[in-house]
Amino acid sequence: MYKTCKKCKKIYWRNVKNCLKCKKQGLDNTLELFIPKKFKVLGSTTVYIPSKEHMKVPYNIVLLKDEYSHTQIKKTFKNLKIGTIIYDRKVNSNNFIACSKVKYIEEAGIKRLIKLVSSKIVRKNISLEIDLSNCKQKASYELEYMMSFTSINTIITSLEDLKCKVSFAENEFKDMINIKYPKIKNLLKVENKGLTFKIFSINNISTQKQKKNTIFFIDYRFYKVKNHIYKSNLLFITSNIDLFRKFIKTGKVNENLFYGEEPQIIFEELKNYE
Amino acid sequence: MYIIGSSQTKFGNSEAGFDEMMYEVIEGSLSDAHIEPHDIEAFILSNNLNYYTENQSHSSAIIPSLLGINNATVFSSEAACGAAGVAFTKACNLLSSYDPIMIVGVEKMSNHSTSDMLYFVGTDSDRELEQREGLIFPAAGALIADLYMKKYKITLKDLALISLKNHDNGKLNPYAQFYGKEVTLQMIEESPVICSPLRLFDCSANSDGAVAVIISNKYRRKSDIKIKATYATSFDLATFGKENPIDFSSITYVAKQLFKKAGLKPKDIDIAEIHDGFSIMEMIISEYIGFFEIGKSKYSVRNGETTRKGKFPINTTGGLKACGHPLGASGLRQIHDLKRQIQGKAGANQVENVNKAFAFNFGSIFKSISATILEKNV
Repeated sequence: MYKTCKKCKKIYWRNVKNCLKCKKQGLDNTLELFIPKKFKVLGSTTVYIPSKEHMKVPYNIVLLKDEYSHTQIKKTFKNLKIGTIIYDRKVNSNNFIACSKVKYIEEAGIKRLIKLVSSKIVRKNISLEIDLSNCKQKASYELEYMMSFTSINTIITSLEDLKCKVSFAENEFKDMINIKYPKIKNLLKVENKGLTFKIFSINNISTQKQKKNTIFFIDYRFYKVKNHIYKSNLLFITSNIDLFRKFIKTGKVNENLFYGEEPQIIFEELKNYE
Repeated sequence: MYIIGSSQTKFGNSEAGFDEMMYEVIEGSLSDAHIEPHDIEAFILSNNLNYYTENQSHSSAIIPSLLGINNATVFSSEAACGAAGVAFTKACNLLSSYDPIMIVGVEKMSNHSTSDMLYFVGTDSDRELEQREGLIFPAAGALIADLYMKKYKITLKDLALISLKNHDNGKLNPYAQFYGKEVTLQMIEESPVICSPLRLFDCSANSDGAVAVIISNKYRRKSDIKIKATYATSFDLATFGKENPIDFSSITYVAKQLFKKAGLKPKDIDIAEIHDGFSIMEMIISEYIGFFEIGKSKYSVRNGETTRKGKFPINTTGGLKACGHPLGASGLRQIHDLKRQIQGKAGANQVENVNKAFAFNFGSIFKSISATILEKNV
């Protein structure tokens, strides 16, 4: 995923809100989001030495060229021959589970998840209602029960990057810290048109019949995931590798092409599970 | 501009700590220049990983502590493996305000495991696009090697010959990590694959080491070496992304700027120090600078033209491959070794009649590039 300035054609591989080159002209909508779907394997290397963040070896890194002629690299445990064409079909799924393993920074995992589901969010023009009753200032003793302000801020700013409009009580949203009474429910809205999604942290999921269109944001600290949750759209962050494996073993989630048995990112339809 | 003094520690696994190595080269370079600590008007520290390896940031402020000087002007330079080259260019540009300037490059790498070091060094690459995808630097070098070798029909033996040549030189250099160590073609070819197609002996080794160089605008002694020109610039951090992943025009750009400043051409250069973090890099860089036609340096490697006694010697003291690669010091080691060559003080590594010498240092994969031409003072 990357952004290109419509005017000067500058490509941004990093997360920017406006074109840095054209910003003086005050163009808010200069950036066009590209989510490539077709990749050709140009080159590959097999890595045999472990590094602190990638201890399981050997793994492969493939150099891919997308339909826009840009190149990028991906880690995979599969052997992909040079010249192989890969289609990323998963972005069209209606129901999905997106997971990210987080080792160090929770916010990095959230950003990555939002990136993964970005095509869905952009295409569906979703509107998000975020229940603030579970959001609190981050404090160590609260972590097991609440979604932190930092987490919710990261979700919202990532959605803003995808051109979702975020408002709080009809005012422009700035950040959670500035919201005086965050416990008032459903005042924070991320708006576009179309479907309605809700983001909750896990402890707020109590009913067996959750709406299909709910996005559950599940925090990595909760290990007991109830079955009904699998039936909904799911953003899942964990630092627990065993839990990832459990997800795979349930058969509800297939291996991601690029990551294979090392379950760093999983993104797949749930049609067989229903 | 002149180099008036320089010094280096022996590279390799050292019992000396960061401060001790730094102190050794500061004293050594002062002695070489015949000046005192208070004569230095500014210091620049080049270091890459001290924050991780020694849990010490703001390392530049250690210099005045070591020398017992108050009010010392100290700058720092951080540009991954290219930090020292960038620091040198920065110092040259600062000479109008401070004269003389001492540049100190130091790195302590032996006190952590390889997997930790790969992670630490990996922080020099793009966090989002590369680190998360497991693109450690040997893997980036390997991907480039894979594409370049296929395009120009370069063989693994060609890479092995580069490594062999640099080990032959390093074996004679008492400051090199591989000093006195016999490395054969068979050892190189049978070494384990690190990231295919690159083998262990295609990669430079983590190393402890320090180098200090003192520069001045004033010519003082006959042994001073003229800095003909120096240039540094940076490019996009991510290695891959552009349409042609083996487009190395950034190297050509830097070389053109440098030769223009110097009023010279590649053919005027007698010897070169090329940043051979991976064996393939020596080939790519020497071609894109203009020392050889693109895709053709393999013939020069096969014919022995780049050996110490060849037509155009490259990495005459062992390069990063055999000297070792203490990240923040390597660029200065290149300058120091070229100075020794021009002075005729390179011992067993000496090349005859060196008048103009070229150094090329880079950080990440051709992202922060610096290049320098030194000239004998006649």
